[in-house]
Amino acid sequence: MGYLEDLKEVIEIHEFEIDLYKDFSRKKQTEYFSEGFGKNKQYYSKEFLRKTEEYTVLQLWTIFERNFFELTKQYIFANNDEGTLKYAIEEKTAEKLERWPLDEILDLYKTIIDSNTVGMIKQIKRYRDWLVHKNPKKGTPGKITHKDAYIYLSNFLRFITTDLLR
Amino acid sequence: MENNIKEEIEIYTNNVENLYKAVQIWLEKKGYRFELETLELNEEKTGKYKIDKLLIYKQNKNIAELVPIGLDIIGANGRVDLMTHYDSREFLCFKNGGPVITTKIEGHKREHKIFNGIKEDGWYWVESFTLKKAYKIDREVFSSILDEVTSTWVI
Repeated sequence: MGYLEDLKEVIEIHEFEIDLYKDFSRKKQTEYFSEGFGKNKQYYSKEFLRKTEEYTVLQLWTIFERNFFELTKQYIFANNDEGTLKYAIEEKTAEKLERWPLDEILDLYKTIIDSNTVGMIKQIKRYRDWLVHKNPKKGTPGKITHKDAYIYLSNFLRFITTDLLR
Repeated sequence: MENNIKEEIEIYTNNVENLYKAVQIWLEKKGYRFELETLELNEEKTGKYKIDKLLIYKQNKNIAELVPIGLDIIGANGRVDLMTHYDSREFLCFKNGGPVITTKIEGHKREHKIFNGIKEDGWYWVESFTLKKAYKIDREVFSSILDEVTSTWVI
C-alpha cells in the first residue's frame, strides 16, 4: 500500500471504532443510567473519545515519519551515480538520515514548501511528542484533530512526491 | 504575561463568547436553558487562563456543552467542541480563506487551499476530511449538528 492508503486506513479504522462505540453506547445507555455509577460511564465515554482521537494522531504521525524518511532517501539517490565517491557519500548520508533531528530535515523542504506549512508539520511533531510523554503539569502545545492531521500530513507527502516525480 | 499573549487570549475569549451569544439566540424559544461554567485552560503558548464553557439544558437535563479547547490550534485560531456524554464535534475558528499551503515546485509558486467554503472570519465545522468542505456555524448548521449529537441518546 502507498502512504495515502496507509493514512486513509488509519482514519477508516478510527471511524469504525467510533461507530462501534456509538452503537454499543446507544444500546446500553438506559442500563448505564439505571446503574449507580452512571456518572463514571459518562467520564469513561469522554475519555474513550479523547484517547481514540489521540491514538489516531499518533498512528498518522508514525506513517508520515516512515514515508517522509523514505521519500527523503529517494531525493538523495535521485541521480544514480553508483561507483562514484558522490554515491558513497550519498549512501552514508541516507544511512544516517534517521539520526538527524527531524526539524532540521524538515527545514530543507522550505525550498519547495512554504515555511508556515513546514512549521505546521513541526508543530504536529511537537504535539505527537507531548501525547507520548504527556506531563499534566505543563501546558499543552498546539493541538490538532485527527482529521486535520490527516489533511496536513498527506498533503505534505503528496507535494514531496510531486516534486520527486518531475 | 506578555501583551500580545494577553491580546490573543482576549480575542479567543471574545470569539468564544460571541459564539455562545449566537447559539443562545438561535435556540431561543425552543425550550433550552443555558448556564456558564468557568474552566481553566493551560496552554504552553499562553500559560493558564480562565474561560467559560456553555452548558445546554433541555427539560432540566444537561444535553450538551460547548467546551473551549484552546487558542493554540494547528492551522486555526481556536477551537470549541460541542460535546455530549457520548459524542462530539469540533468547531474551528478560521480567518477568511482559511489555511493555505504554498508550494514552489519547478519554480512555479502555487497556493493550495486546505478547506473550501471559508469566505469570512468565524467558526466553522469541517464535515469530511476527504471533501474538505467547511461549513460556517450559523443557525441552521448548529441546530442540525446539535440535533445529530443529541437526538439518538436518552441522556
